[in-house]
Order: sequence, then structure tokens, then C-alpha cells
Amino acid sequence: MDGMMESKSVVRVKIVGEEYTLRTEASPQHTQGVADHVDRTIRAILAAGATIETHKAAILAALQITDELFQERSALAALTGELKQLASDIRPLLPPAKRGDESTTG
Amino acid sequence: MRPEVAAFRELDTLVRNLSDQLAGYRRRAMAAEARSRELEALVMGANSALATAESEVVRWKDAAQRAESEAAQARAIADEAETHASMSSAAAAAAAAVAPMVVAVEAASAPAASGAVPDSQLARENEELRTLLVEARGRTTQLVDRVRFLRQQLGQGAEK
Repeated sequence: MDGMMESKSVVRVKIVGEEYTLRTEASPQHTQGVADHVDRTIRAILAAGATIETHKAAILAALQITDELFQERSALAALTGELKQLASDIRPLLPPAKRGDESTTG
Repeated sequence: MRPEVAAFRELDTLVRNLSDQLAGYRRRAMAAEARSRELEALVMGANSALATAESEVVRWKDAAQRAESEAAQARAIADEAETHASMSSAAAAAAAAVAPMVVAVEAASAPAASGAVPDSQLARENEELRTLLVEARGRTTQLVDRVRFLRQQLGQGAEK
């Protein structure tokens, strides 16, 4: 993944006015980006006015972000299937020596 | 390795291999096109040479026909001359055979037997006819040689 680093770094982020110190292998930019996304999602829920309590807004934000995650996973799985199908379509057009190893994608 | 990454890499490899294959096909197609153009040029050249050879053959055929016609005419003239010569010889021989009888008849009956032809005149005519015959034979031989030459040339032209 882009932004991932081998050594751990300490990143201070602020979410809905509260500061958190995070130790992570990811880059500070990536960690800051994740924190900003969570902050924006919670603030959007709070701004909608249905919820005033911050911890409930955080849970709703977690649900929303998890929903996004699942949808992206599903889309990624569909994309992977399309890639495999395309590879299956191309493979017969090639001589056997150049068809590659089918087990890597199977 | 994540499945989507593995799938992508596999597809990437296949697409690159496919690209190589297509490049090979393109090279072969271009080489075949070049070869086809060369063969077309050769065929066009051969057609041109064939047309030239055909016109040569027609020309030689016409010449051969003309020569054959001339040879036939010369042969006819020679035959006619030979016929005349043999007839003259026969007439001379007959005249020689009947000459004593004519002399006897002349002596016996009339003083002037004007219808008889002298031997010397017949011999002269015979000699002239023989000369004509020799000339006609020579001309016939020349024409026959010419026809033979033209036929040989015609045969070589057809081989081209």
C-alpha cells in the first residue's frame, strides 16, 4: 500500500477537537489523512443534527466508514473477477509457452 | 499477495505476451507483403517478355510462310522447266530418229520439206532449258535453306 513504511512513527492527530497520539507503521501523511477522514465523517453526522453525543456520532461514523469499506471490497472483488475473465479470454490467443501460470490467479 | 494484485499482474503478463505476438505477426505480414510485391513485379516482367516472344513468334511465322510460298513457287517453276527439258529431249531424240526417213522422203518426193526442225536448234533449246532448270534448282535450294533457318529461329523464339 502506498504510504506504508517499515519503521513505526508517532503521529499526533485531532478528531472532533480531541488530540490522539498514534504509533503506526504507516507514513504520517497517510495517518493524518485517515484521521481527517474520520473527523470529517463524525462532524458531518453531528452537523446533520440527528445526534448530539459525540460517542454516538463516532459509532455512526464507524458504521458509515465500514459500509464504504465493504462496498469497496465488493467492487474490488468484482474488478478482480473481471481481470481474471479478461486473462482467460486472452490466454487461448497465446502459444502455450506464453500463457503464464494460471494458478497464480485461480 | 492480494488477489486483485495477482490478477492484475497475470493480466499484465498476458497482455505483454500478446503484444509481442502481434508484433511478430505484423513483421511476418510486412515481409509477406514485400515478397508478394516482388513476385508481382516478376510476373509483370515475365508477361512482358512473353508478349514480346509471342510477337516474335508471329513475325517468324509470317516470314516462314512467305518463304515457304516462295519455295513452292520456285519448285513449280523448276518442275515446269524440267518438264520442258524432258519434252525437248524426247523431241530431239524423235527428230534424230526420223531424220533419215525425212531425208529419204524428201529425196523421193518433194524438193522442199519445210516442216522439219533442225537438230542444232533443238539442241540449243534443250541447252537453254537445262540452264533454266539449273538456275531454278539453285534458287529452290536457297529457299529451302532459308525456310530451314527460319524454322530454327522460330523454334528458338518459342523456347524463350
